[in-house]
Amino acid sequence: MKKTKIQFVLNEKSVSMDVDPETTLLSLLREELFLTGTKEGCGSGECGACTVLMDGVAVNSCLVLAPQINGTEIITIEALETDGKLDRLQQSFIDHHAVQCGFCTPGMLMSAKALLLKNPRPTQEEIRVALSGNLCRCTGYQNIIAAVEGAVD
Amino acid sequence: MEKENTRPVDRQDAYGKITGKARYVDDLKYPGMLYVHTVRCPYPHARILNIDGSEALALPGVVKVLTAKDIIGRNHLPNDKPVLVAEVAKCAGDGVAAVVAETRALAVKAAKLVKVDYEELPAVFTPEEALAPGAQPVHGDSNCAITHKTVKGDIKIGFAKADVIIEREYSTQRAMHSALEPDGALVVPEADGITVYCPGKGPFNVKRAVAAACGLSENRVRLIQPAIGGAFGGKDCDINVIASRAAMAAMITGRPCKMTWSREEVLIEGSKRHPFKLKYKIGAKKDGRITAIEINGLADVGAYITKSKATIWRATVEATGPYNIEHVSTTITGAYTNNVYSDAVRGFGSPQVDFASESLMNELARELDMDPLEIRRINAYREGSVTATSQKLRSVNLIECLDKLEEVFPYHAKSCSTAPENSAPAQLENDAAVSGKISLRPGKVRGRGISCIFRGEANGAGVTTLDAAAVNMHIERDGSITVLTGIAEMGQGGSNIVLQMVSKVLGVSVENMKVSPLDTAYLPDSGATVGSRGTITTGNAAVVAAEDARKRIAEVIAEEWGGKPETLIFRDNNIFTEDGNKKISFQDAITICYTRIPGVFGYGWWSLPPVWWDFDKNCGDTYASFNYGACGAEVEIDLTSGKVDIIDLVAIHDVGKILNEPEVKGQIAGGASMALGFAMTEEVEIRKGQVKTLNFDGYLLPTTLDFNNFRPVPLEAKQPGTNPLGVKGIGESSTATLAPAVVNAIENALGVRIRNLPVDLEKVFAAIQEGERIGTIAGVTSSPMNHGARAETPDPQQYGKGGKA
Repeated sequence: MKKTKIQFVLNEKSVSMDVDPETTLLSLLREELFLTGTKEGCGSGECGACTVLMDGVAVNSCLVLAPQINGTEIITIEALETDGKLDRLQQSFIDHHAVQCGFCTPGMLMSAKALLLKNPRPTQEEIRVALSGNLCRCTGYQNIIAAVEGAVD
Repeated sequence: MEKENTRPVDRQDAYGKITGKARYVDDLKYPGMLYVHTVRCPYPHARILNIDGSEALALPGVVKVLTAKDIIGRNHLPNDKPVLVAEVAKCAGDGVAAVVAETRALAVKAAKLVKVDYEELPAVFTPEEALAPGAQPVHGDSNCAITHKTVKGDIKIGFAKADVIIEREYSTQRAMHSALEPDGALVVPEADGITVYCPGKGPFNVKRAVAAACGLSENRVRLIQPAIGGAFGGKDCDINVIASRAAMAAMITGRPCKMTWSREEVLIEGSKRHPFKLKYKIGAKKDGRITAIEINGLADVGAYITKSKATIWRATVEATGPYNIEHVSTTITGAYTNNVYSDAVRGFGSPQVDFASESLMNELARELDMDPLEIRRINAYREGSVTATSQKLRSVNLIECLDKLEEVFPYHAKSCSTAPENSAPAQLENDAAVSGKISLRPGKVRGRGISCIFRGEANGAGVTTLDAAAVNMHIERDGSITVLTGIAEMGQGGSNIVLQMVSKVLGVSVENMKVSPLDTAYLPDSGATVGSRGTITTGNAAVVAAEDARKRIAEVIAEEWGGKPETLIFRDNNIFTEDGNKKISFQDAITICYTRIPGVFGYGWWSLPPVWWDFDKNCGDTYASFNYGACGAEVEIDLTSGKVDIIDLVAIHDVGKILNEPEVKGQIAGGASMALGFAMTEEVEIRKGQVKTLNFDGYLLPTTLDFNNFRPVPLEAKQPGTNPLGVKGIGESSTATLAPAVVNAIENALGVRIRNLPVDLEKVFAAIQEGERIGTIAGVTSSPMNHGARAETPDPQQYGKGGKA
């Protein structure tokens, strides 16, 4: 397969690379850029474990092909903690016991981040809708919802 | 234990999980690592005639095509799932070969090129078919995999005493664990054996299975657990097989080999929850006292036995529900079929029988024109009650659970909740203005339902090995502590409980401790993290181990100061004399210890008292203790679509002693949300042995929009005398109460009983139509002007006067 050259910003750093056009963003992140914080739970856009930010919008990275990210800005879970300081959402997840097995957690955090970027003061209903594409088998969601509410001013 | 132990302790594993730094098996890579992909049989029952891997091997980058002939050790135990099928595949999805290649994509591509010739064989797809005379046997000469019984008294006598006898049939579906992390394993060949990296609830079981498959002694297989993305009863036999396939590939190629399943593979080949069909006959006096119960059940074991015997045993023991019944006969049979195999799933046989017995209690209440809560109280287990297996019960907290339910759930309030969505349900008033009529949005009806259960703690007598666990700890020279525990941290927070217990005994902050990764090379085999036994066994073992360390340290410091070691106080990262006159930091104390004694450590085993079961007499002390629970559900049903919304949901669980309140609530919430999926949406569809549900688009887990308005209530009442901490397990009982409560609420709203799970849109819609037909609801479809008001009150006091299904 002929490679395609793409340029994008990943976690505030400019990246230029040749990619197989059939590679998904998820695979690119995990296999070629060694950013394994983004998880694969279903590979078909149903579980949200692979959620990342693409130009500030939450996307399922398993459904995005690598050429589609050309010229965009991608933010993954690895960039949420900056200079050893946790994002407010991350701290709130700890404080509200919103983490159990942790496999859905990066995706949950990125969906929540996308919501707060767009809507800094969401209602609980808006939080539930924003996270409705992220499945969690462990928590029953209530601590996750509370954690996002706890990160709102 | 004082109250301070209930303080919320932050989870030590949370940091890695919120930053993406926690490494799960599929995040691990080794130089030179190969990928292994399974070739599966497409037929439910077929003999392998030939396997030709030449075309696959011709692809550049394909290293090996492995078959059962390459298995060095034991392929499988009798009637159990093989690493790879040698001769006859017993279900569609059985692995027949494994392709080893340089990349995952290549392995997947090459697997499609492996040519396998099969001779299709006759197959059986339901337990009834399987047990019919002349049926094609899946193993040996009979499809009866196991029959368990309990017998108490004489049901003939009991039914003769009854004023009312009803017979009902219930069924539950094939459901799935759905851990968000798919199963996988990475195996690295070593000079003297192999190292296996894989998640799983039973690391020592996996180690033994892989050793047997690879022809290695158990001490040559080292298993290290990475972070685990949930298990829910799974990641067990499936992991045995995955790790064994990866291990044989690693040993044969001499390179690290990884196999991780896609979600589709988990659905096709992975184990499932046993579907049950249960026939109940129950007799009672007019006053509600149950005189006899007869239960006959049939479970679909699928193609392989795995833990079906223990699962069905638990279901048999618990099948009556938590009620005093003098005359009991329970028989549950598990049958082999050519369906994908059934195995442990969180709840382990309890959710199936609890759905049936708790639906039945409401049906009996209706027949007797009684209140469903009252009939439960009349028959409920109390201190000293004797179960169907002739076991005398201690620390029985069922009435306490029911009292709490009545206190916090407005079961008898005449008006339905009018609290807006997402707000905590308000205290309801018996508003005369509505007097039993529901003020609702048009086209909606509401109903309330309850349930209660008892559930055996830990392994029980269905497992013959002693129910024991160990914790040990190294006190490092800087005073920090490395804690080792064999209980798998699958997300439930078991590791933190161990740290809390050590912290309590040694007076050292949790922040100064670290749980070592689970590594079978160093850890004492503490059994599998199953049966809700983690906190009971390792919580108590942690106390024993920490007391061992404290004694060691106290002897040194007491000698230093003069005085008795047992009088020293360990608190706030310091050690004090009783009078507080002398004080040394824990760290300085450890420095002194290293100059005086050989090693500063703590080591402790703890085991539950033995239990027993007499397979001839079908009786025994089945579990060391039982926990109790109750659930209340209020639902709102849209009469146009059949959609059911949860308006209020309360789950009360007898946990003995609360060790970490937010975490125990999190366990209850998680179990309840899994139970909501079991009740309403989750089903692995299988037709003629072919799994048709292939991903989460068809297998519908509850989302943030479905699981709502939930209140977990951990209850501290009488503590079990069988463990010093006085704790009870919570992991699984939380999955058992919700389904019957919700289905009872739906019946309360519609006047129509649904007896088959899941209660999906189609079934609810059919029930709405039935309710309209028999007049229990005036629905929108028949009478648009009516706006779908329930024809009569759902007030449980009025229960039994509506239409009968």
